[in-house]
Amino acid sequence: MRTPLGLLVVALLSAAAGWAFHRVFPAPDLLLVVAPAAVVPPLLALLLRARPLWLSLLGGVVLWFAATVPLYRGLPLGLPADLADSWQALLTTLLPAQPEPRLLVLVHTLVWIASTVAAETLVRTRARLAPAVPAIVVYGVAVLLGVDGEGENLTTGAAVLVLCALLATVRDERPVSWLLALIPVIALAAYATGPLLPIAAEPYNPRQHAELPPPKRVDGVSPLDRVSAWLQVPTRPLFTVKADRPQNWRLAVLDRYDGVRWTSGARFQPTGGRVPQGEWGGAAEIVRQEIVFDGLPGAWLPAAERPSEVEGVPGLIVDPDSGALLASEQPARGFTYRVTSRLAKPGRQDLLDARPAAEPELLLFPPGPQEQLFRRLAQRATEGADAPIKQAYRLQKYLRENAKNDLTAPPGHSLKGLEFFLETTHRGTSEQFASVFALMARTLGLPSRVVVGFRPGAERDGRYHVMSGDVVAWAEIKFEGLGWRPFYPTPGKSGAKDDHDVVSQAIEESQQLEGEFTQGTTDKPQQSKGGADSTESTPGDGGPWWVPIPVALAALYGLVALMLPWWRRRRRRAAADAGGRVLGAWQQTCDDLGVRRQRALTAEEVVARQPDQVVRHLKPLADLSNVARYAPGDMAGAAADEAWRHSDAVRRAVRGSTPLKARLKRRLLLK
Amino acid sequence: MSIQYGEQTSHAYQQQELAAHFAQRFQHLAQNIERVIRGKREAVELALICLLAEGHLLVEDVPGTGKTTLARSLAASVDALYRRIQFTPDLLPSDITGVSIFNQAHQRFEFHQGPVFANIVLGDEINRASPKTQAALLEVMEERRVTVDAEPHAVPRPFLVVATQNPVDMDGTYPLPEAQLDRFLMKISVGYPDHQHEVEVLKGMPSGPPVEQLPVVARAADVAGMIDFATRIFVADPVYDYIVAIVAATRHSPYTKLGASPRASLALLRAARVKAAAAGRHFVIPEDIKALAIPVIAHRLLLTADAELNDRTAPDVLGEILAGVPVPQAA
Repeated sequence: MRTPLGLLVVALLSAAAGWAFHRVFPAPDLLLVVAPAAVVPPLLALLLRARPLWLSLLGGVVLWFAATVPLYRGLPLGLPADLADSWQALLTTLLPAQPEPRLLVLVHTLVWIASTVAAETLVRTRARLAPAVPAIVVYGVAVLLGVDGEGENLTTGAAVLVLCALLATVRDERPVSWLLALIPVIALAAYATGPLLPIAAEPYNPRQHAELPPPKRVDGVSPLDRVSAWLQVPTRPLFTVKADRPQNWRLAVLDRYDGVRWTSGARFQPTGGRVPQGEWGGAAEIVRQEIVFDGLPGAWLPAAERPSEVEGVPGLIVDPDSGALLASEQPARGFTYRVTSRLAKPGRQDLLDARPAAEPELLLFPPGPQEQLFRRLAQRATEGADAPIKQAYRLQKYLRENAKNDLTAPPGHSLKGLEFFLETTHRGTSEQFASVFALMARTLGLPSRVVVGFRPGAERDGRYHVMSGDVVAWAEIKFEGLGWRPFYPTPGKSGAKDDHDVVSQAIEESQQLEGEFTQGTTDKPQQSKGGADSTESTPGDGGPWWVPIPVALAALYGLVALMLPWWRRRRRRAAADAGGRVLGAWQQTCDDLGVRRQRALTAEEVVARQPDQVVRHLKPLADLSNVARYAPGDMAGAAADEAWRHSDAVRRAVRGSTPLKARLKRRLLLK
Repeated sequence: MSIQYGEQTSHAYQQQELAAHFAQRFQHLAQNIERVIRGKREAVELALICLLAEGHLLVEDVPGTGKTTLARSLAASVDALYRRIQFTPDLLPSDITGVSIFNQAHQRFEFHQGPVFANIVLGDEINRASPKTQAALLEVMEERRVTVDAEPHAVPRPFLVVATQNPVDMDGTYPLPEAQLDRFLMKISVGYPDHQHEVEVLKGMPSGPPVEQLPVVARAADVAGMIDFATRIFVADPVYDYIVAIVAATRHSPYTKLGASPRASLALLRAARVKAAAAGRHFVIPEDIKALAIPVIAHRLLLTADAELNDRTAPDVLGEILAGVPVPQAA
């Protein structure tokens, strides 16, 4: 009976270890993979335990392969290659990963191997804890691979620990109180020392060492090149958005400029839908959108800044730095997906304190004489600004006031063209305004990039209908701690304010803030990110909610460990009949001597192992216990009293010869 | 051990007194034999337990360690009929059991008893006789009677067969089959004496008499009475469970091809009762079981090839089993 029970624990242990991948894969898909891999090998080991090991292993391999057939929904012809590539694929995927067979097969195989090794070890050896080792290894792998994912490993870790203790108990009749006692001790030690570890602030992440794919050229035509064309044909429907509130919909982010074109240096990574949070961790506004494709060309996926969750896009890849979304192939008309975005809402002090990020590649200016012109004009525009944010606002204001938004202006954003725009025409579209702003900002030491997106569009039937004429380009500057902040240097058409114009609202806000800054009404930098006006909950000041639990468990354990021997002794001394009291005295003495666990020892053998000063009292007590247990008839009360006198004498002798530290240790370990 | 703590009935008190008397006589016998077999108290006590449990003893050891002397000393200490059979390859079954001879005067067949008709029979080098002759001992060892020409002839009581065999020099021998081994209550070895006792042997044993001069310290009727008393020793239910647990463990051990039979359980129980009485107790404790388990059970086990390849002997395997089977604990 003990072997089937042990195998059941092995199956649960393997399942718990496999479940630790819940930070890597969505739960329903993970369950379908982990359950058979955890259960089948123990069953097989039980059935074939009397057969040779090779037969069991061969059967395991056959069943493992058979179990991959439903996973792949067919013959897994590419199984070896998938297994070889899955590590690299998982390490370069943003979590949660897409539940694709080529990735899930890794979990399936790891759990299967762990379950097989554990089950065969259990049925073919007498090892007590060795069967738990494979599951612990799998758990470790899962924790490492899931360090970036959402959720926590505390529950699965606790489950693995408890199941290990259970396995040790099942494997041996002796209770494993030392192991059970270890659970709260480990929890307490982890709680006390965990924050002091160097990796506590930033857990080790194997993805840091993974070689990411090279920058991907995602589209033959740069979205910035399309801006003028779309503006010429403004009525072409591109997509519709159902959202909580109107926003500018970002399409592409371009951060590299070679003097002719803006391109993207994004390193896109696959993801199951989660997009890593940007640099800003403070107050934010959540916007949910449902976007339906109409005639938007290319594989870029529009969304409000900054996406945190994407649903409904198979093969989604994302640039973790910019948050730009890309489908693996051109979406068809009617393609629908949902995005949850997080709009940073830094406070006034946060903006004032902001310092430009130290990223030299975002300050690169193409070689040529134009740099001097851009720098001179930028310095003139920002004269008197004593903070980077003020420089950016003044630059924005300068462009909005000294140039006109003209849809008929010639397209292009080459350096020569932008120079002509700045010096001569002062007319252009958002393509030129955003480009010029970004380059002028770079001359001031403000790291910048260009974003192509759309205005919210016209609202109809509860949806925002975005047309080609809604296209707009704007610039962004990266600040330390704040991340990317948008700036809209393009003035409105004919000075009019568009419906749902986020740009106009942003300009008004910036003008208001810039005015306050100029008037010197700001306080000195004090406030940190995420002020009192946060609209999203931030981690509480009192630490995680579960923190008191291990402390309470440890306190409870300590109380039980201290009180249990006293209660047990009292109960034994107060047994109803004399025989029971004699046997209680013997048990108590065995506890005091630390031989309670050695259940195969007879009373005579217990006596033979003790020193002389103990034997003097122990031998008569052993004889009494033998009479009480194995002789016919009842014991007299005097015998019970004498038994307890001997027991007390042995206890005194043991206490006298055992150091306090050893006694305390024995008590805490419930020995 | 004196037991003065129980609220005992007169019967229990009487049993306790009788057990003390039994222990006294047992010690007397053991001390008497020890005057010849020096320094081998354990072997002597086991031989006596075998006699009082109505079992048979197989002594296996190298030549010259005192196997035969042990049997002779045992016989000499009891006023009982002692016969010795030297087993040789040409020994016939009728040489052991006896033969029917036609008496012309009375015009009928008369049974002439063989040497097996004695209280203590020494079968020296039993493995040198043919299996057919060895098998002649089977019936008498188990049923304590010899059947010749469909006529049963009972052997006297007490009846003890002490067989010896040599574990080395196995050429021309016939190892005892499992069925016959199972009929021996115990298998023991005497072992070499320690330095001091071997020196005494060399000096001509000045402190001890030769076997022929050993005083008789018990009559056959006394021994029969002790045998009867031992069967009445009390055994508590947990002790029965303990015996069965040990025997069952021999059947499930990965190192045994054949575990101990129920006959082994019965043998262990009988021997434990005698040991308890010899200790002055009127009840059996697990210590008795544990002390006798190896001599009573080990020779009945057949080990697997794995165990033999790993140099594990039956006593080793049984020792591991005993170290793993929990002793009955207090409720």
